[in-house]
Amino acid sequence: MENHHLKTGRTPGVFLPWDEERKRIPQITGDETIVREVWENTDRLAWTFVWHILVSF
Amino acid sequence: MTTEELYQSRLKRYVTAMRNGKPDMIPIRPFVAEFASQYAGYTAQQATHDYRYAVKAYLKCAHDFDWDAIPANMIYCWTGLVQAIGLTYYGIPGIDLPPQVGFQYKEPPEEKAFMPPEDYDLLIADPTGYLFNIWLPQVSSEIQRPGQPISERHNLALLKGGMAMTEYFNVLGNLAQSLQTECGTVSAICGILKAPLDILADKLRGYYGLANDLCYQPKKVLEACEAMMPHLLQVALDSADPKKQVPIGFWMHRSCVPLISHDHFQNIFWPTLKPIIEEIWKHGNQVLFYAEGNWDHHLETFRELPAGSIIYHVDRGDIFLAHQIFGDKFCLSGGIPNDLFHREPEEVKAYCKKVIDGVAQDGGYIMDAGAIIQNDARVDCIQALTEFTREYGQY
Repeated sequence: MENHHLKTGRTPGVFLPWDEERKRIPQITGDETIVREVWENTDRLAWTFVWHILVSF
Repeated sequence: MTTEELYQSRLKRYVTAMRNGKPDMIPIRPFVAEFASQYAGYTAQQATHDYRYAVKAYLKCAHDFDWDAIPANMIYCWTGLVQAIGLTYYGIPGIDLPPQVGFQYKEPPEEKAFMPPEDYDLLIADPTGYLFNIWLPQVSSEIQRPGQPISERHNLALLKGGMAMTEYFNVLGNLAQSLQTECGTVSAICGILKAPLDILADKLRGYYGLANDLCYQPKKVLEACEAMMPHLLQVALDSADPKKQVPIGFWMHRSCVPLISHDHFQNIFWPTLKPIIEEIWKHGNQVLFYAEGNWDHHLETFRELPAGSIIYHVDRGDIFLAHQIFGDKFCLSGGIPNDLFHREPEEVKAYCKKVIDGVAQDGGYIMDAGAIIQNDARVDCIQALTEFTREYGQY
């Protein structure tokens, strides 16, 4: 079984944390706050999807 | 009275009762499910698999019956989404079931549980990762685990599933809005909560698997519940009514005596649920305890919760006992046995009178059946519940 995708400490509402994603981006030429906020908002949609499959469907 | 004035009067009535107060009359809030589609002339398949029929059915019911609030929608599982993702635990009307039969959950045999007993540590370490990478591929006929070959159907299942969920949640929001503006009817609940231990049984280990785990590895069960707590809380808060008027629906399944032991309830179920309810209440949202089955053994425990934090719904429990224990703290709803809806309207009226006389004299009661009302209920019996409560339920 492939389990290397599991990570400890993933908090509610977060799938791929911004801190990890930030390391993948060599340079942000504009406002990092915007990039971070939008990343976190779309990431939250994925978290919402999987938890609602469990709880609602 | 305009539709908006009607809505505001119903909202005030409903909210006053939920705060354990005494409104102008007893609010009527029937949790109609496949009754709605049957009444509107649609099959269970139509309403379940094509939500447009469900929307029409709920609007027709809200228009035709003098109900203060109804859920939008109680045929809550859109099986089009289920099919898109390939979820294997549903019986879908028109595919797996006859078109007139409501959707069903299929629980696998113990040896084929969606989560094997040795996976507790993985779930505990990373609940979100476990659900996405291991559980979802296990319950879906289409989605693959990381490391397995990716197919077009895998990609489509995730793409269609995500898009479908967004679409469906928008539909539910629009239905709630239409109930208000077209019918003056309140959308009865907003948001969802399930208890960690119930979720573990329902979707992961199955009831038999969980019963074994409670005996042989109870510490792991507790740790798994604790790991899921903050996520289930977040789901509830994210989906709650931002105006904090209508409650979060909390669906109570199989974590009561005698389905689990008193000790397991006290040491696992309750310590991993109570903090969630308290936190939701700190945010100003009430929770509707929809106590499916009979949870009478636990009423004194539920009484530990802050006054007004919950509405307690009675299915097969003793509503008079619930009133005795909760009367000064929580609003009650339900308590009308669903099997009465197969009998004569006069029997329905007589039972409604008994409940109103016994628990509703000082307010704090909402008229409803014990369980969701499905397509076996007679229309004249539901009309009897509605008309009698309107007439006799005036304060």
